[in-house]
Amino acid sequence: MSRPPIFLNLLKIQLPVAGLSSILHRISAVGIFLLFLPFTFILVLALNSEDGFNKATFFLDLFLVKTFLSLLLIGLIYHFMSGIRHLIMDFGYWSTLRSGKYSAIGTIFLSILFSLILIIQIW
Amino acid sequence: MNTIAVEQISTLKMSIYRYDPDSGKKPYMQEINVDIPKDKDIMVLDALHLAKEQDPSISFRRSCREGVCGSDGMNINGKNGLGCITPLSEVVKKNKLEIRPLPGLPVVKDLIVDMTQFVDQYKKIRPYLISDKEDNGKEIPQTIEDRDKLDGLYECILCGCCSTACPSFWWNPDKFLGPAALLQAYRFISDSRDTAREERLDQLEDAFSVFRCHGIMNCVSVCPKGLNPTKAINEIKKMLVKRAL
Repeated sequence: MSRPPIFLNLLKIQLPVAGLSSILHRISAVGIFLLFLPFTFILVLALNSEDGFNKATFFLDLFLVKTFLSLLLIGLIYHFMSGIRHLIMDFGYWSTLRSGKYSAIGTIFLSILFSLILIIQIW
Repeated sequence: MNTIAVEQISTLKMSIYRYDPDSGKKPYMQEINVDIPKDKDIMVLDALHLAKEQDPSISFRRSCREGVCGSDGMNINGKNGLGCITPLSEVVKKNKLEIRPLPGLPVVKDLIVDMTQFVDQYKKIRPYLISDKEDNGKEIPQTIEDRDKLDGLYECILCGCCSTACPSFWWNPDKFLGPAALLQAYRFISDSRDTAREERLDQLEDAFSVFRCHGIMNCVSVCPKGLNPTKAINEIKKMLVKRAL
């Protein structure tokens, strides 16, 4: 007998904002993991010598590098803010539906705000 | 049979998940238009019965039709709920109503899912009072304050809406206990008459049983009884951490 089907079409299942916030937390973690290493190399390069520092500033002026740096910072800010929210929840706060929803919206809103400020600084 | 005057009728476009294991066909969505009264707010279950009048082969579970038995849990326009106590006015958008089975569980037929995984997790938490006190045939007294601690926990009807709305349960239905079982675990952990508190906590102390919950609160948002499994899970987590420190 063939295996019975399972309905699990994520596009057809409603996801409350707290769920969206959780998925973004994971996506941001993957993004940070992938982008952190190349930028660590640039940091090491800049700290090694004057020549290295000049090379690093050259790299950081490139459009593509700036774009990836912006993405890294967005990921870091969101991951940090969402992590703080989780810590607060671990202490037993924001565990009602209403507070869970508004804390998730607040996390996303503050992350966008701080990201914009940093991105403006970079560009 | 009651008849409805023509001017009081509106047509609801229903789309129902269909699967027949004997047909050999894949699941599909069946479109059915049903006439519903304009002046009354009927329940999703009533609309399903109207659809079943047109096509008697549509299968779904139902029993008490008043939100007590928990048998008609289903996915209504993307959100889990009990068909019998969900009014159309709450869920119908653009005159459309899509009904699918509870997500993540094997489908037996149409809207009927195999609840074995869900019940197995419920069994694991030993959902009964364990007391090492001698059974003298009388009830075990409890203070009013201790009894109050069970409010918001004991009311669960095991409809499965919460666990099947939980991504952690979708990906690990055999290891993560799921919000329904964990709510009941906390119900017995916090019962002053239960003497197996430590053993119950021992059983939950691993990376999956409780700690796979990331507090996204899908369970709270779908619970037809207005319960809060996330809060109960957080309390269990706090107990486990306190014990470890």
